[in-house]
Amino acid sequence: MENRGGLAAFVLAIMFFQTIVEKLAIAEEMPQRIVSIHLCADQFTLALANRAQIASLSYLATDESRSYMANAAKGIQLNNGTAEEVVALRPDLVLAGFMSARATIESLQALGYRVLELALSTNFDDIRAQIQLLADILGNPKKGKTLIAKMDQQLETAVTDIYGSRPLAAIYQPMGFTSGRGSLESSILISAGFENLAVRLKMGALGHLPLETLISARPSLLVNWMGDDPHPSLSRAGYAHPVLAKGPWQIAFIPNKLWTCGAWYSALAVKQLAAIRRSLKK
Amino acid sequence: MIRKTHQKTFTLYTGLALLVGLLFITSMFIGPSTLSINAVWAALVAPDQSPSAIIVNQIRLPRTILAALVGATLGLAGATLQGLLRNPLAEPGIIGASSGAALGASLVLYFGLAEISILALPIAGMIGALIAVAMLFLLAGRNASPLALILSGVAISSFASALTALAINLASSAYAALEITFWLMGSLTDRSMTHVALAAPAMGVGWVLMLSGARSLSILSLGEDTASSLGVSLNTLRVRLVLGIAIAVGAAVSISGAIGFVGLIVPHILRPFVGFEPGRLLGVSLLGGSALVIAADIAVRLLSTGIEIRLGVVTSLIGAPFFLFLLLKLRRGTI
Amino acid sequence: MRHLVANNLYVRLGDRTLLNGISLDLKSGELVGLLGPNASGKTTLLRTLSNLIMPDRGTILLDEKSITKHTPHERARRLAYLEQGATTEWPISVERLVGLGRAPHMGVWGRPTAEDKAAVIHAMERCNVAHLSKRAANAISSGERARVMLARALVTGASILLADEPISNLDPYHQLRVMELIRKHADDCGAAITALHDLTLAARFCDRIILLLNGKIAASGAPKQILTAKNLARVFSIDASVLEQGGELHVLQHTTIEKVKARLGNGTP
Repeated sequence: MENRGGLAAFVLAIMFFQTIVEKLAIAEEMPQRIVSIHLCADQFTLALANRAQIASLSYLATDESRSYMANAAKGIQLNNGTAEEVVALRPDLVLAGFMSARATIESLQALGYRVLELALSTNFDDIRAQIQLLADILGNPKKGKTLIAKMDQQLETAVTDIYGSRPLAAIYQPMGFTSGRGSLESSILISAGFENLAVRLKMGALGHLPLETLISARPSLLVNWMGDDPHPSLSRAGYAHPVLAKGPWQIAFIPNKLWTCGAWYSALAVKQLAAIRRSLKK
Repeated sequence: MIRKTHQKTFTLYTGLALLVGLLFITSMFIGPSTLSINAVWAALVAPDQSPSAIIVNQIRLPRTILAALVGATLGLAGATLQGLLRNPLAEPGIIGASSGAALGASLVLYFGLAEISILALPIAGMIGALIAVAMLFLLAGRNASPLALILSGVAISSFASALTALAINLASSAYAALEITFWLMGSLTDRSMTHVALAAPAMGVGWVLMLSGARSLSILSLGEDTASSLGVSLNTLRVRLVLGIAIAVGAAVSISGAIGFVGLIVPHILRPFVGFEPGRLLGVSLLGGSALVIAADIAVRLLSTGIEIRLGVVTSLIGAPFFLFLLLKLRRGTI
Repeated sequence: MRHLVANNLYVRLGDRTLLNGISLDLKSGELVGLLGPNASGKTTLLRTLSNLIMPDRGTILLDEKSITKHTPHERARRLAYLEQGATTEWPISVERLVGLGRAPHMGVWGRPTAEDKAAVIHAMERCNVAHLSKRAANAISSGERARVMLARALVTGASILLADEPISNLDPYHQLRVMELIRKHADDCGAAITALHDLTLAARFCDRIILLLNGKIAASGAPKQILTAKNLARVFSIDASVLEQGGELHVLQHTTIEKVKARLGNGTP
């Protein structure tokens, strides 16, 4: 009996030491000084990393009109995305994204820094993969799984009432630009239960919708994010065209920050659009 | 003898008016949606709330009207400038009037003044054009050689463009940079009857001012002293014509953006038909300019697949080679 | 009747005095010849009399009324100015060019009346350019052009004609034709002042000669009195003789004053 007790204690001790070693090993792999120079990377960093791990975020992180996690970013040091600033911050991981300056990324890589570039997500599968990947890299896989689960749940409830044909909607951006197949906006619109006019017209990710086409197609809803930018511009003035104002459609504004970056909260845009869809039927 | 000349003039005007009318009607049939002749006719004659009626009356009609008005303005302004400066290379774009108008309109648009009053936009365009033309007289003088004229025009255009770029840089709207690039290339897409109501009166006033100087311009071609001795008050004439040009071109550019070369091409083509008389060139250039811009706008709609080819780009593609051709003619002394 | 009266005209440009106290008058039927060396002020005087230059001092009366008090159209109907080397850049037809001279009779939007059209035909016939009416004005000879420009000046119906060297680049035939036309105009319709270089023609056609030197009137009077060897030497610095033959004066230009002085200095007569 004494031997069995000793053996059990020994195994427990080994297990105990193993978990400690594992934790230490993971702690070594977890980046401790994360610098993000991209708005979308900011969001993931704030959601998936511990605050202590974050050295700096991009200057847009606290911009309420563009950053979903703006409140959480308060108090963190901001950077303007220049290599000089990044080097001064002594990061062990640099997060950049699509449209970050190539020159900056290349010079940081040449200096030996670990730079991760976020790709542009154009649908929710991409988003899922990106959340998981970042959660792993930042050292918090569980947080990633939670986010994904929340997102999936929101997506499911958005289309529980779709039976037959979907109502027609069009994304109508400033200067008449629209988003067709292969764009995040289109994925969001379709996930909310609409048919995208741009997809029906076989347009790619970026297309142009002439007013005449809008009038002929008579979508039930026009979606854009003009409401976010209150500053005067030609596009704003373009919205004053009588045809747009008096059309047979409803016009909805979805905040820009929900769909600039493909992230878990893009499902909120889906939720809002689904609610509008339901109100349309009435 | 004299009767024959009047007949010729009458034929010319009738021919041009018919051309404008024909192009106008054609324009109503061109657009991304295919509409039958009956549909278009019904929309014009008995408008209802059907999609085809809205397309025809709210989109194609204002667009075509604006093309006609803007084209007329640019043609007339070009002929007027060429008579006033006695130089076949003068045109609102080359002398910087269009850039000045664009600067005025940009300032008003991006700094929110357009929201104070809807008239602020065309008025700003007029003031911008006026300042540009005044600067031209200051820089190039009254009897400018072609070289002095082009250099001064380039200087003024560059300066106005630089200030416009600065204004956009400082503008709050995120769309400013993209918009202004497109706008400066000129476009009449998706304009409404509001735009027509906004610009048409000013253009009309400008036309009257310019056309009233027609005979004086013919006399001016005999020399300043002779013109003075025949009762032409040179200062009054200059002020009147410059105001007319600024008001009309300013209003046009504030709506359509910068559309160049129309005022250069049209008078040059029509000049032999009016016996090279500067005064007689005004009226026909108005009609000719109208025809040219409606035609260019039709081309825009036919050529654009996906991305819109801008109206100013089409006129530049025709106009820039034409300008080079004129320069060569000038060098060879055959102008 | 005195059409034009100028009193003590001073015109300054920068620090140069172009006209230095000039007074003259122009009576009905008179053809006055304005002679003088280059830069003596002939063109300046004619332009001042036409109200193209504002004198710094002095007055001009047109029909007893200050010239500045007339409206531009009134002035244009009374006074026609034919500038030196008048030409046109555009190939406008002769007929239309002459027609432009009717401007003082037409309003801003006015169309030419039957009267205007008749005046144009009449002026072209008087100047013998009616056969050129359809030709481009810059495609005719300089002699023909000079007559066309004169027709343009005469068609205004103005009685006073101020012509600046209208015959300078014409052949002898056309020089005589143009001077005859101006003479006829003075006789029939009114009066004229013509700036000239040709001394003999001036003597032949003019009632009165004004000699201008350095912006001042050096001499003024009938050709016989004014055109003397002494005056010519003083004003033009030339050695000339004036002959009278068959009732006409002929001015023979021999040589320049410098040459004469040199000869005298050398002892050669």
